[in-house]
Amino acid sequence: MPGARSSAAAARPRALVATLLAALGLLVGFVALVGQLTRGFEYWTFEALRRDDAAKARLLARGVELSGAYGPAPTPWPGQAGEVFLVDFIYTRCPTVCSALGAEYTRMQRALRERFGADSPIRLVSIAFDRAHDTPAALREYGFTHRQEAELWQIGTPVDAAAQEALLRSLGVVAVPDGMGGFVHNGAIHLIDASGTVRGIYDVERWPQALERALALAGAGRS
Amino acid sequence: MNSGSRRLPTGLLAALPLLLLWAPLRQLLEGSMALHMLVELPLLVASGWAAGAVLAHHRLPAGLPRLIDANGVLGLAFASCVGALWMIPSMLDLSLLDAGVQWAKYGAWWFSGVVLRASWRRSEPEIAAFFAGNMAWMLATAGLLYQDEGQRLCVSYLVDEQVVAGKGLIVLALLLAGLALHRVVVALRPAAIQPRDRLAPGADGRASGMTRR
Repeated sequence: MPGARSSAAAARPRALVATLLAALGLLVGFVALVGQLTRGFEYWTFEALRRDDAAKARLLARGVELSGAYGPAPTPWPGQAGEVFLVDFIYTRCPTVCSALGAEYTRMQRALRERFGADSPIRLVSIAFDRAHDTPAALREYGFTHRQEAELWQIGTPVDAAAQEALLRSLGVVAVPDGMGGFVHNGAIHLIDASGTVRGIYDVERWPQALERALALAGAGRS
Repeated sequence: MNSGSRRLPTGLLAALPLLLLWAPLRQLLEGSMALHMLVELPLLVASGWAAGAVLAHHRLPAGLPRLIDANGVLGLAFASCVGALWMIPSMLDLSLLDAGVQWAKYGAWWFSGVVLRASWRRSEPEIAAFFAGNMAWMLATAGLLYQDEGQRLCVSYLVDEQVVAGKGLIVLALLLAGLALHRVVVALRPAAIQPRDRLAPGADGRASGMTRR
């Protein structure tokens, strides 16, 4: 049928143009989506996005009840204006990162003690997440090892699994079993203000910068 | 195997993603980066492909409209975009931490399988090879990056798993490159017997080699 053949032939360029336009639209949409997801092609990993959120004060830490060696107590946030908290996530059996964090926390505690005595606007908080092993006795031992002073440094584990999940989720902290009975986690120092807003995330070796920023936020910059 | 006995496994494969409603299976498949990227995602595509076959069997729409999918270009481009999107490490993490992204991932990969079946058949060998080759190149690049990166790219996975996933992506890339080459080589064979679905409806054995464009 010549008529049908010629109409099919006429439809072919039309389909080709429509297809190319649709493919172009798809491509533009795809590039826009990736640009949005990576915030202008800057951040390609979840951790980079999380740190960017913290830098822009878009990360809010849930306040939870913590159970520690000295009984239950809520997280110090929300607190009073001017209070700042340096928060890390640990598990007491951790032989590597958490020990390093503990050692640096001891140094920060000493600096705070020298500067403010027992009445520091900056407080240290270590949240233990290995619910099976971070018992009050284990937390006491961890605190003893790192010379914890309770009025400056709170160590505890969330009172129930749901509260822990809510807190970790709110901060994007993920602990993955390492296959050897321990965990790998994005352990870092979280600088949290009185409202519970994360104001910065610092790797353990950058603790002096974390402390300096905390002092600035508390209105007690270097003297 | 007759078409009736083939229909059951195809239907089962098409419905496979429903098993992902069962959390322990999800956790198993997504607990390892290699299983997540090299088993779950390809299975979703295969399932979508099977769903396309089931839809076509019932004479239901089983692909993008021909008007906007000349030569299968749009469908192949869509599948490429879905593949590229989930090579971004943050998307893998987000699909584990955000329920919305998680179900968007299942939907996008499954749907790309549906679309891919129709578009792959519509495409000329050169077009199909172009898209498959590009996908292979992208997978291989991602695979090399995953292996070379000493830091964890995903907070949900260990570095060791990242290396294994990287190697797997390279194997997948080689398979895809092989598929692209196969498609071209088959088309170049002068007496090649074309697949039945490329023939005009009602064409008989004498029409072997004829293709419908």
